[in-house]
Amino acid sequence: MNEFKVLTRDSGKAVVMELQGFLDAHTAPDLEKTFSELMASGKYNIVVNFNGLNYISSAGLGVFMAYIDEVRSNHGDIKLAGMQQKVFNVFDLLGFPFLYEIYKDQDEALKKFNNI
Amino acid sequence: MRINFRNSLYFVAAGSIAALLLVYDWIRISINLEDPVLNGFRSLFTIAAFVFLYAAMKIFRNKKSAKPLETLRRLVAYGFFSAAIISTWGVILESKGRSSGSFVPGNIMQLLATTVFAFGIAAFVVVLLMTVSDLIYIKPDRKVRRRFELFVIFAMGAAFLSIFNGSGFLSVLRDIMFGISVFIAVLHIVSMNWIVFLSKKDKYKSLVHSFVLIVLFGYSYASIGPADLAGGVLGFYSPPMSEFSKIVFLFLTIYFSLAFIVTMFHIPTSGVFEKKKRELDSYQNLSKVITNVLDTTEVLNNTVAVVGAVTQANKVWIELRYEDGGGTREEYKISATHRTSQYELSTFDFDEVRKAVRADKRVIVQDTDEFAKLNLKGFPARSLLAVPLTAHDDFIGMLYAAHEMPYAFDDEEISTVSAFADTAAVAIQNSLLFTKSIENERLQHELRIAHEMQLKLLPTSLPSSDKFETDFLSFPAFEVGGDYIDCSRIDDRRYAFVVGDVSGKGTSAAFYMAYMKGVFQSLSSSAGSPLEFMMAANEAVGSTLQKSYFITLIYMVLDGGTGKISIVRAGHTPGVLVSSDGETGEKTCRLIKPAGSGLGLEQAGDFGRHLGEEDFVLGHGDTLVFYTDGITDQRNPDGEEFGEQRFYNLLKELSGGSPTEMKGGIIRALAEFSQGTDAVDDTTVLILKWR
Repeated sequence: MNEFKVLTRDSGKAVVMELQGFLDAHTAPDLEKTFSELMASGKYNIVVNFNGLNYISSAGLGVFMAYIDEVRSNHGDIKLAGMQQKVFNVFDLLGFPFLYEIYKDQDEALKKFNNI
Repeated sequence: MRINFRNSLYFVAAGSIAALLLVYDWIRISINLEDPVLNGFRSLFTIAAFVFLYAAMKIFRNKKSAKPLETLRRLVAYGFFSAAIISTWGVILESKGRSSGSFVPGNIMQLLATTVFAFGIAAFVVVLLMTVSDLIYIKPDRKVRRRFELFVIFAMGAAFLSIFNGSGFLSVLRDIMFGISVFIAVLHIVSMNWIVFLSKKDKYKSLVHSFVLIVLFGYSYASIGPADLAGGVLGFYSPPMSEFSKIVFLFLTIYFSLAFIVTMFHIPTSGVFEKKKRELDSYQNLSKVITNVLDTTEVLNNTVAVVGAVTQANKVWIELRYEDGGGTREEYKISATHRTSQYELSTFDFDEVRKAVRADKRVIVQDTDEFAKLNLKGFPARSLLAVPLTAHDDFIGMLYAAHEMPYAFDDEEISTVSAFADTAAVAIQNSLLFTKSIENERLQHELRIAHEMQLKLLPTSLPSSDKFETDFLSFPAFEVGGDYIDCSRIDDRRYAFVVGDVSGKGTSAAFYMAYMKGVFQSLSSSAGSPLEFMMAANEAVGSTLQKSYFITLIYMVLDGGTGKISIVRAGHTPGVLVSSDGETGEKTCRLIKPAGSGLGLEQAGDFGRHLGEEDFVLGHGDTLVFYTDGITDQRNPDGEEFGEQRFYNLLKELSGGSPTEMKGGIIRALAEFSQGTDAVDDTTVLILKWR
């Protein structure tokens, strides 16, 4: 039931990271791995597409916190996009809108990167 | 030794016949009676006496010995005594003035001496035969037994026929039987099993013993021929006894000549035999290793020692494989060494060997050149054998044996070590599993303690007064959790209440939860406003937390006199205010959700700028509820979430009751909904009701 998938693809100057399924304490390491691979290959412009994500737990949220400092110190950013209302509520409750740019859809977020 | 009535009877019978014969012989030599028929009967009597003696002798026999060298030593002793008797008795009788050849005692004393001598020799011949049978019967098969019995039968046959001395046909038959028994003696060469199992050292000893026995028995045989005095004495007294003794001494001479030769042939192969024996012993040791599964170190050390003994390798060691991060990284650690050390091995990288072993089951390096290929240049050995340790299809490590000589490991050794590694691997894995289960048990115990400790960090009850009433519930999803609930009294009017949730679950969350309690207890009384409290808490937590962790908190200050409430929220689930309309009695839920991000997410400036506070005054019958998302995230067997809406509706439904009644209602509703589905997150609810 609790399956989780991360797909990444390059799009202009940014990388789109597509999340699917359930992101909780069990699946968070998969996301961590993807992030550290991106860091290792010097890709710091990241758009996370939440379209296919049905659930996020606090451990899942922690992953974004873990990498944001490194990304920003390399003049990149993590922009979040395409959240279902339920997922957005979790982010909102925690105050993530203060920390991250959150967009309705992925193209809007990509535009921000590619216009720089 | 046991002398019973029957044995005594045999002795008496043998003695009586001997005495009768003595009387008869005295008459015989006195009147010079030499009748062949009478002499034949007399010989039958000597045989009878001999048989009784044999029966009586059986009790003097020492316990049968399965140790060849002990039997050999005994044979040397008996052989020495019989040879001594033969030579000395001959001399004594000769000194009485008789020449060699056909012997006839000249007086009663000589007759007596002759009788004693004849029975003495007979007794020794019997003892020698019985003792040598101990050797022959070591690991015998039926053929060996039958062959020996056949020899005895033909020897006795020849002895019996010698009664009819001089008769042509019978004497030829006697000679044939004599020949057959000698032939059978020679046949014993194929069944000298006792020699094979001797160690090299014992084989040398056996050579010396055999040589001495050849000399003693050869001398004895040669000294009782018809031309010799001893032979003449024996021939006079009893031709069958003389014949039998002759055959036995000849048999013994032949047997030990053959034994000497066989031993010589076996000396070069005794090294191989000893090695096999060592291997067998080692296997036995290994089975001890396996039954003794409790201590991994001991199993490992025994294994390398046993392999060292089997192969005589200069260096033996085991490295175990450790997995990390869900099998993504692997590491090898040298876990036991024999005649080498971790220090010596640490300068070499065995990665290539491992790869080769995993590809090809085993690696055998027989000469120096091949070491370079395996990236082991300069390794202080010229042969290397590496086999995998595989238990139940798990590759748990490697076993190495190295030798300073090239081509040190032959095929047999290699297959022995491989088989050995398989057995050892199971033992090692068993011991590792055992250690792990002990460790698990210990951790379980620690967790139980942690659980109890954490329960002590939670309040046992929250304050109530005539104006307000409180109750709460808090269950961790596992032994320990990251939910936090607490209360402190700021002054005589005001109370601070807090509910928090540390991200993540289990032990790490529990530690932060405990830390949070310290922060709350120290800040809530000293900080002025709720906003000031939350900013100070963010500072304290932000400097401590790991990047990927955060804490959400909802904090309120209640004026116990007026019902005035001030709430700040750091990323936590909102507070729920349930109130009923004064006129219609209709219940409404209002979410109290002032702005604010989780503790540890933002730096002080940003955090403070974003933080909001909500103030209001509780009305009669109002219920304020704080909760953590464990309750709304609870699922039922269909995977459906309990959810916010269901929870808010439940609160409305229950709000007529006291906080304790509401708590009961919430627990019942959760149990009914989850139908036994385990909680995935810690669950905490705080209920405050204004009277």
